[in-house]
Amino acid sequence: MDEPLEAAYLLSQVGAEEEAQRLRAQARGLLDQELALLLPGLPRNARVVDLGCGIGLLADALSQARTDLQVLGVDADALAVQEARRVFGHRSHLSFRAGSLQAGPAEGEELADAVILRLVLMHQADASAALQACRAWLRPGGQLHVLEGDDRAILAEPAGAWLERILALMQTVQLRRGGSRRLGLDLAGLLAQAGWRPAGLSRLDFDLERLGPVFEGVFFPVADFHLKQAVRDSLCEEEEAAFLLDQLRQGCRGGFSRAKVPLFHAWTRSEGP
Amino acid sequence: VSTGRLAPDELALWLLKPEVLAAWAAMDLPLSGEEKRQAEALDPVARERFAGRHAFLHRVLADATSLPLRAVRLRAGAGGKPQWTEGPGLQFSLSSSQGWALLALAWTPVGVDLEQVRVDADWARVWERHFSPAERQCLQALGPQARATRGFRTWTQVEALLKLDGRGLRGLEQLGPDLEAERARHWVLSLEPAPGLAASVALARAPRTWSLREAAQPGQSSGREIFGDQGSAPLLRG
Repeated sequence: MDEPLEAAYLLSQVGAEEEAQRLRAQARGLLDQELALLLPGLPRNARVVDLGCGIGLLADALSQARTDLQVLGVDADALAVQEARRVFGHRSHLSFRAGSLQAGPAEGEELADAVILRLVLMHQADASAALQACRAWLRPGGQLHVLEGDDRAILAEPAGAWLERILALMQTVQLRRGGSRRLGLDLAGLLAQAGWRPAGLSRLDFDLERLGPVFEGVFFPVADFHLKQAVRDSLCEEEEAAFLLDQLRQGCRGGFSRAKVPLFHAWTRSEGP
Repeated sequence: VSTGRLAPDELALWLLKPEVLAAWAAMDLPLSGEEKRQAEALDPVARERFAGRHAFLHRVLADATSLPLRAVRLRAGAGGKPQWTEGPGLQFSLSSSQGWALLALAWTPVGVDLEQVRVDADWARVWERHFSPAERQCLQALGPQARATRGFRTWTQVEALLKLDGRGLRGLEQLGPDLEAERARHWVLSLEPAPGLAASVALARAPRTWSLREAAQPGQSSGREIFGDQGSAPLLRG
């Protein structure tokens, strides 16, 4: 039976319907480019496990783009898995189940040729432990792909101290929740700390021109969520949070002449034949 | 403006965009005799790019060793690979593609290769000849764009390994099928700083710290970090 398992990020926590809507908007704007990062590395006929699959958007896109793949999406959030099954449950070569990264594969479950961790480490209190736990999912020689952003590498012009302040508050909230928004630049180091030997790194910088209105729809709700939490945690006053969000909204709606939001991808292989 | 000293066990990588390369070429820094001979053999566009990446190379070599620019004198070493034979032992590897350049710097031998990914290139035949059956099978499962990305990625690993030990492309016949074994024996990292750019760097063993930075225009402060492994605990940095 599917049971809700531990997770720092749950759909129900952030408002299930709004969050699912935001994730779909994000996918429409970004998923093609993310797929271009992942597809070249995945072996033919691979069994791929998307750990922390959420509502299944990446798992579905992978199985659509590469019909030779067998894709399993796993998430600790039973509500997200239920949504993934509702929308994509009928697809062949694609399945979903509830489960946690730390618990490893279910008894009798086939080991994976590739494991994908997309925007999962950022919600983990111990990123190194999570990376170590991925080993149990992989056959010898299997691949681990990690995708993370990094707020330190966000570029927006013109932007003053207010953007620095927003990003600093967001990071403090994330650290308190158990996670970090500043992992992408250091993915190679994180992998090495967890005993992996990094094989490659790629980087995408989503730019404002290409993202258009998606930028506001995707980034603004995240900032809004974190700043409301910052007010509750007495990290800032309500007036300041409102001012910061207003600045950000103006920036998203044409105030920025240039903006880039990076995504980092690192891959490695487990030792073995 | 300094690109910084290089610590022992450190690997420094610099990516030069076409416009940055052009700005360094315009500096017209004096090159060594061997470099001038190499540059003269090139057409004007290639000569300007050559001048740009070598001007930057001289600056970085001088900064990394805290020696004056005029102390940097390069000569053709084994296999024609330019070397700072009278220098303090600093090693470098330089690669260029379609106006971009990548420079690697370490105190031990290093090999680097950069390629701009071309979907329409006639590379499939080269890969067919030199890649292992397993690698060729992987390529076959992919669409044109992903195949080009993976093919160039693997190709840059091969070239970086060949440049590491100075074998150059003459070593290709031996190395192609043994890429897996070579990868296991060395520290090889693929680096794709932006879609459409494939690069790899190879060292005998893992450096203690490394980073890939964007080279800045002459006179500007050091460029942004693209990737890095500073050897610290990133989670503690907050």
